[in-house]
Amino acid sequence: MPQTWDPAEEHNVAGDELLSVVATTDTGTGATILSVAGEADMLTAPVLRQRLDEHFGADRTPIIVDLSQLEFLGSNAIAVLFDVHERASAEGRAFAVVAATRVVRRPLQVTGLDTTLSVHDDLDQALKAVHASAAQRPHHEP
Amino acid sequence: MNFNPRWLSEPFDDVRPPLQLQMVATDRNVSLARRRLRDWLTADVSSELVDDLVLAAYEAMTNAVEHGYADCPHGPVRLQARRSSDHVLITVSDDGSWRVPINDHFRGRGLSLIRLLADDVHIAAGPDGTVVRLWAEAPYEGLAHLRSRPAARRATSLGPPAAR
Repeated sequence: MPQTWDPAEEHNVAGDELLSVVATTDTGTGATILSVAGEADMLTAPVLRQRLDEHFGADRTPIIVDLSQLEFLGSNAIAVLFDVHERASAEGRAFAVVAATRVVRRPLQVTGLDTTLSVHDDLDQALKAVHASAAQRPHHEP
Repeated sequence: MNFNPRWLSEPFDDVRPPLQLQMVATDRNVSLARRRLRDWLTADVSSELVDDLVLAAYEAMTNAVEHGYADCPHGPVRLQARRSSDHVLITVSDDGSWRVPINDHFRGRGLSLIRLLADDVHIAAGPDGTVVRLWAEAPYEGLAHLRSRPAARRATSLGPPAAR
């Protein structure tokens, strides 16, 4: 083995530089769309968790996490998606994931999460899914 | 007890110099090591296999960071990747002792993820450290023409590589 490698000599990066989350609102459904770009791994999973949590307001609007621009998805970030899914279920909030690329689909598939989460090939499908899911749900305040 | 696969004791004929990195086990370092591994593999491995092996090796490195050094953080983690004319062998090792996570739904899946992504996996865990070896069939086609692996081959990837 060579001498200890110190990547700080090559890159000096923080978690919030490697992952970005941009929020938009779909006017038709009122859904919050969170577009995640970059690399979702052990380093950036806390950033992902924080940014997703920020959008869980009191109003129970549907949430769509769009992973189309994601370049890596590791198990730490998958655990975040699972927790967000559980939280949305507990709140009676529609939640869907857009996973278009193999680099995102593959880890969801091998962890079995693709059958637990509402996973879609594109944003249109995800919007239809949250719309249908919101329509089915009886409208009542807790 | 670990069954020792045949490939573990067979000679490995490198077709190019291995990638060898030893780093302090931190979340930042293993993220950057993952990028180095991706670059190294991309030279002559199909893109689908690159994705799978990068994810598997990364999960092994995160286990070293999260579980290997629970008692004494910042121990070393080592990543080695080797290329022969028909296989890739990736070794991730640390000097810590893994704890098997019990009530953690997804951390526990890190290991099963590793097992599903490589053609074969050998894990040697002891009090002085853990060595994870990932083995994958990967026909060497030189540097130029990389094709995706046939889908059928991935479907049979759960067991050890077939005898040739």
